[in-house]
Amino acid sequence: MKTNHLAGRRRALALMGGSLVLLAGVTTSPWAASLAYAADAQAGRATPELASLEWQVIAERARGQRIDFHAWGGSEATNAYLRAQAETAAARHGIEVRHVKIADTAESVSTLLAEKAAGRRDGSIDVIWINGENFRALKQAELVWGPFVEHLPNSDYLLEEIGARDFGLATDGLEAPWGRAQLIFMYDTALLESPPRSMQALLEVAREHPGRMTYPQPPSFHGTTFLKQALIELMLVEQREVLASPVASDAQFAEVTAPLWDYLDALHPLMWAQGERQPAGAEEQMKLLAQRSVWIALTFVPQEVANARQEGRLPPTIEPYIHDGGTLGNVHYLAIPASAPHKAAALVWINQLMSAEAQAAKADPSRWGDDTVLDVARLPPQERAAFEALPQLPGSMSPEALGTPLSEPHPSWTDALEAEWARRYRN
Amino acid sequence: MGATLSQLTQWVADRWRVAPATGHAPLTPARVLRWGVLLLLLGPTALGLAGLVAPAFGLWPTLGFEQVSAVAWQRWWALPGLAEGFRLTLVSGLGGTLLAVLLTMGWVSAAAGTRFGEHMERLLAPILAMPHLALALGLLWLAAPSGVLMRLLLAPFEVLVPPQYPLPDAHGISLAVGLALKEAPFLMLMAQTALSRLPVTAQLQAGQALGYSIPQLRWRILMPQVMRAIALPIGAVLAYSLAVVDVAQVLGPTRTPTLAVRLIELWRDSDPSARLPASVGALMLALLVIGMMALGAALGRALLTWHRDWALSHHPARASRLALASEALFGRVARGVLGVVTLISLLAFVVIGVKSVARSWFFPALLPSRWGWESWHQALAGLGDAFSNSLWLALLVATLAVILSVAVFERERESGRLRGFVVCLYLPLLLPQASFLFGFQVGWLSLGASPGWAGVVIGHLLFALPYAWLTLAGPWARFDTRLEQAARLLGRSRLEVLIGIRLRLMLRPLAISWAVAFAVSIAQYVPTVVLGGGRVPTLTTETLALATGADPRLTAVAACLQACLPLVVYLLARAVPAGRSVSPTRG
Repeated sequence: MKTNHLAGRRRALALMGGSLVLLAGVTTSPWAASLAYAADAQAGRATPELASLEWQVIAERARGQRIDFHAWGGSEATNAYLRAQAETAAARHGIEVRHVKIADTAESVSTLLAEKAAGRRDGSIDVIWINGENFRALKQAELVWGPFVEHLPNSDYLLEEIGARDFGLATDGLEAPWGRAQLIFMYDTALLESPPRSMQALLEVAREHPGRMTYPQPPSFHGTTFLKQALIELMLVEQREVLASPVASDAQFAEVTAPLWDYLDALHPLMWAQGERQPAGAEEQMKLLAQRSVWIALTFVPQEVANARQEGRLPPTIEPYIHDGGTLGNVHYLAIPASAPHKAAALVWINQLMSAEAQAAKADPSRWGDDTVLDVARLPPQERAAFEALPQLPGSMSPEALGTPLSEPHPSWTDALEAEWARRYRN
Repeated sequence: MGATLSQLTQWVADRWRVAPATGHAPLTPARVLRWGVLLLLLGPTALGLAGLVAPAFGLWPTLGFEQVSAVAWQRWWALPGLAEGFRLTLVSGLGGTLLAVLLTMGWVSAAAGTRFGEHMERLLAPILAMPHLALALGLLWLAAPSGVLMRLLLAPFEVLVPPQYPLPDAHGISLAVGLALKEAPFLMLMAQTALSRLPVTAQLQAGQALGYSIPQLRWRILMPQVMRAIALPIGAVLAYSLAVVDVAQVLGPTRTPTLAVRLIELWRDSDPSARLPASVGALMLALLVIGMMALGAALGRALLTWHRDWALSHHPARASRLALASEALFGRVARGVLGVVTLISLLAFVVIGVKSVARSWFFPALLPSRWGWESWHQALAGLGDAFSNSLWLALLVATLAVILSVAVFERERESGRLRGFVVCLYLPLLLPQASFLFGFQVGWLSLGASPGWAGVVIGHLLFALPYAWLTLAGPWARFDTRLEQAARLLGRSRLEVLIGIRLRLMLRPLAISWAVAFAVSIAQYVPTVVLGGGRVPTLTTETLALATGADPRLTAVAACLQACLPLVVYLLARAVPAGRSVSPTRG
């Protein structure tokens, strides 16, 4: 793991150097992003034969293939979006996409690892929605196929700074950026005059209104995110950089995370259900917020509140907010497992999901409300129009309000935090 | 360590191949059928046991664990919150079973055979057909702090926020109650079947002639007979309650889950070697169930002995006024409790229906503020696959289950002995689902099969068959065999008699048994998830996935579909004309 990381750092340095040279000359060039990917790929593995074929050839091979797309299925907004995209894929590219709705991406990672261990060549997953520690697990086991991202026609318009590092780990073009997410909190304006805009303020509100604050139970995605957000906020700004590198030792972990456990020890007795029970995920907490059982909730979809209010899932008194010091943000990706039996169709599907049309629909708060990974300013005018026509709904979060997201700690912190949380609070 | 899993399964396969051939009897169709059914039942069971035990001792060749070691045990015992998990499993599993048994006893002592009992039976039919998960969701939406009951209670006051009380609670009590509400109707149906095989009228008349009151006779004469007859179903309820996953995820504690939920969590861990401790856990759960079952059996036997002694030593029937009054009071209380249980279950059903057409329904509104069919439209688009998978699976499984049940009964008549067979039939019901199926999946994969439809069909069948058999047993035994004897004397073959006389006259019981198997198949969660590898989405798996999502309305639609499909089939089955199947000589 350590050597891996050093290699990653060396690669990153090379990448940064290369990018700087390039940026000096072609800052506005649409090729900047894909050239950066090329540098990344050279540092990593050789491009597979299929990915380097002419796009027409790939599209032709993909026709008639059926792919299994493993993606979290707990949100109807997401499921409906994917259904519509699958119809488009069938009509335009002649591929059939089956959305395998999973509860947690870890399940699919486990399936892939088990299939690899059993020596199976033809896996059961063609495309997987992934990021963070799950990507790290697959990359470590050499279960991701690629690099392929730079060969996708739609990668030309990707945001420049996007997609090189996933939770601090070099992606090496092995996963394609699909959307940008940032931690958003929401509160009920009918119950709280002003929202708690920091972890300390949240503790104050919990003291004032016992039993009305909570957070999803780790190791659920949002529960762990809450831990990381709290950890960062409770640290001094100048100390935060230790989180960018792997956990060095148990002693270091204990020292760095001590304020977090003190904070949680104080918060838990004041929480909903005396902290004996926590929502299974952010979704359950949103349902509790809708019924006013708890007074705040959180999400990773920037326009979730707008979407939910329009759909009638949340009452109109719910408003989004973020913490004053900023909140965690990350990018989520699409990857192709090395054992995927239908790689050509997988490439076509990923390319379609990265198209301006699909990305604009994804950013539409009335449909999903996820931020695009494309550089809208660089898009051809007719494609840019789709983004400019996006509706402004009540309860949406403007890019200015979102600010600059905090960066995710190295994935090793995630694992350690989850283990320590379980040790302390699962008894 | 040479004895790997595949060798073990090979050995089992060899044994089965050889065994029929060594018999000196010719290969009659009945014999083939018998071995076929046995293989179908025992094959997966043996595979399940082998796949359960081997990984628990560190053996899992396909994952690279080729040496016997204690690593799985060490990792299992190192899990945080294990003791609490054991406690919760016992509270919810034992508590749920005990409550269900008490409700059934109340029903036998105060309701069975009365008009009240008949009404109740009719009203509880939907609950019997309703999958566990749907009922659990309905109960949650009914009884949670922001649920319908609270809103009704608080309606006269101007309350802005729901009260705070822990439901679901952290101690497994709400889980126990939810399980009891679902299992009690099943036990009552089994008790009803048992009663219909007893000469109830004759016994009651004889007792009355001796001066006993009817409630006394129910307690003294009928109760021990019924309880003895439903011992196996109670065992099945116990095993199910201790190992339930889907209901536990809705009504159970989350901070520290029950053992069965913990197993699923380990199974889903991104590290596949977490399945080694999961196997140990599955083994522990199986041992726990077997231990509790033995304890329950001993307790039941002691209670029956005590009851006999008590009945013999307290024989004077000249009931005092006080005794009569307390009997009447007990009857009223029992009927009251049963009425409330029925009402709650039906309300849960109604709440699911209302929720599925409510667009916005926030606390403290008594009724939705916006109505609409959008969720149903969305569901039609999104749940189409799951719906057709569920339907086809259930149709196939129910049909197979009924055919195999009939085969088992025919076999019974031929040989007259059935003990070993019945135990095989019950084995999957008595072993905890999670344990047994994990083992089966490991064995199944190491045979080179992939997760998918075939495994799911076998998995469903293992659980649907015993239920089909149980519901068919009573009517089958009551059939007037003289009709068949007459037909045989008139020169008809056995097959002709079976199809032309018995099956034709037993069309309705067959249909009901088919409907029960159908309902069991629809409700299966663990077999579908574990053996299907996520490739066979059904209404039940989708309902649970949606239940963890952010849209309760869509969850309601899925639960509605999940509940209505078996209900429609059940009502259709009840509408099948009853043949003249009951022996006129019955007491």
